Amino acid sequence: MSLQTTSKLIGAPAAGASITVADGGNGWVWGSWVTMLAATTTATAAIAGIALGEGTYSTMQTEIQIGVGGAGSEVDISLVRLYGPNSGSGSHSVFLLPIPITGIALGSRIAFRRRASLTGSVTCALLYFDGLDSDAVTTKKLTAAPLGANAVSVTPNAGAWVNSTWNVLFAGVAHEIAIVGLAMSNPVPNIDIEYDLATGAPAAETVVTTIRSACMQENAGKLWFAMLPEVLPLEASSIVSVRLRKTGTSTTAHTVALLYYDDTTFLTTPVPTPGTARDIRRVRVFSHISDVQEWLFWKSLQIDMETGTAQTLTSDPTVWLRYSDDGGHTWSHLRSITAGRRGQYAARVLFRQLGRSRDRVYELSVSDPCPWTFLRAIADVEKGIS
Amino acid sequence: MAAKWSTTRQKSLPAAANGATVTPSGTAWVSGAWATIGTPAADSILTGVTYRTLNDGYQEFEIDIGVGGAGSETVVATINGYFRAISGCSNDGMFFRFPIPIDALVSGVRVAARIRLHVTDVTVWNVSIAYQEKPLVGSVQTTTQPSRTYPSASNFPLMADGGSGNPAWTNGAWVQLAAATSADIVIIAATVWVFSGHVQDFELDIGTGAAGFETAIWTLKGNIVQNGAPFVTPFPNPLDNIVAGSRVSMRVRADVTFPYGSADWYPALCYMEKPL
Repeated sequence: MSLQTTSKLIGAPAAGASITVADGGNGWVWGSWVTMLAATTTATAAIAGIALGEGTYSTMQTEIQIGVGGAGSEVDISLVRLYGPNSGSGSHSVFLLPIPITGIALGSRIAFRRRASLTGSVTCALLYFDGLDSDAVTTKKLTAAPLGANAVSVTPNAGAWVNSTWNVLFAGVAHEIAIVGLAMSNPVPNIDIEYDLATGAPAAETVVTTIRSACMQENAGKLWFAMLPEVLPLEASSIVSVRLRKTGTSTTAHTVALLYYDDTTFLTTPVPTPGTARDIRRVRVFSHISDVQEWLFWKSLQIDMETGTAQTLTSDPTVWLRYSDDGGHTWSHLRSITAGRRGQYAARVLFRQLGRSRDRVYELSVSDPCPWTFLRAIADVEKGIS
Repeated sequence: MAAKWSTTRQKSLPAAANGATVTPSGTAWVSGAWATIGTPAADSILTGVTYRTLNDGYQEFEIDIGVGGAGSETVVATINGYFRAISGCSNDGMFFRFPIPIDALVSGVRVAARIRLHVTDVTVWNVSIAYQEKPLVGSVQTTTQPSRTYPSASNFPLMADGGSGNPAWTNGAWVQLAAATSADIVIIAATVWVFSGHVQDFELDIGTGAAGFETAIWTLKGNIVQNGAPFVTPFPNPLDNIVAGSRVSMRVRADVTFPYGSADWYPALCYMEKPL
């Protein structure tokens, strides 16, 4: 399994015109749900994205909600926010989700509904896999900030390539989120532009990523968005702000909205133990290590293990080590080393300067709620002469 | 490989400046000179390419990204696309995002770009790259394989839709993009443009198989008109079922009906060879 797939992407309606998905009027009012696919035909269907079809709109900020279920009982499974400058333009008309949505029961009806800043005529098509053989999938919802409201206005600095001030896109929630990209307008022709995204309280922002884009003509094109190469998880309670810098001196305001996942649990390796929220202390005591009771000088002990499997961005799973040189009657103080924060797969668990012994027993223990896989331990030890 | 994620910051090169000025050669499908984009401060992965131009004509293009000193550049990525008339261009179309980033940028080694067009225009382009410095934190699939294009340094093949007088959504004929792939390949993006002023829904098939025996293995549905941005669609989940020696072709069907008649379409693909 991998990011790639051998599965066929499909459009719905197949070999037919896109379907009108009406908004409910100006001011972010939901329109009615519209059937895009009457029934999935496999239990492994995966929603891949949205294609905008013919329509009539201009400088439109819109949200398209994807629902599953019978008419009148649709359940929201994702939301895509887009900026549509001009329906009469060519160009990109497809928004492919960064991660396809699975978990859709066989025979499910797929429906869209839409709301927008300004009412307009929009037709849509569903893009999906009728069975997807990739494990780069999610059951979590994509969403946006602001939600159901106009995007944040960002006024450029009057100097070319000078940063604007920071503007808060997202006030933070008590759990992690994962940024996907931006849906933005651009009122200035023929420019390169960089958007910095940062976390931190106002006046204490720290840049976490930069998205670069270009605009050839203001308010032209069918769809505007800019995506990160992979999703960017952020710590719980992160405030997300944006600033921009660009070619030229125009100070006409841009609008920016954030696309993100409100749940990052699909980015972690699940803890393979029932009751995942509890800390379980796991202890491994080594065999006695001695060589005819002569001194052994311990330079280091490296634990060869899987690292970087923390369940949150802020936790430091810890490996504890102590040793006994008298058969387990007394023990050294506990030493600790992090097994790497989430994604730090190259972290080394290496204990140095472990003294000398004639007969040693090591004890390794862990308790953080994350997957633990130990392969072996490698000691750098030198034998003495007595 | 579960879903891709990373907390490593994405950066731009050049940073906080216009993209490098890249000049076409003036001869169709002949590369212009390499232009320096910049030098990364650490070994990095290439995540995307941003480009724009003030040329208002229609043009198919290929952009090479290379690494190395002047005169000894090695191509690490080639992307293709099309645009016509800046009045129709959207900005996402001006950014090519590699679904599988290319692990080819080296600390202290110059990165450069060059371009070739299917026309003789010499209006300059601005080209920049997006990248992430190593070591990466997260779960990211990368490759050292360069991205490549079908066709390569030649005009996109002419592809007809179902034709005037036929019902809407009638399939056009298959058009060959590759007679036989030289290796197992993974398709990372598709491009199509149409020579028609009529806004229309379409479906684009990628197929494999001998002439007359093609099997559709992928379908993109979209909406198009001739003026606009490069019409490039990167695949978040690249298509990985084309074995060495395969004939690759494409066809289109659209909602065009009388009085608009049929139109001329031009497809292209971007791919990587396996093993990734």
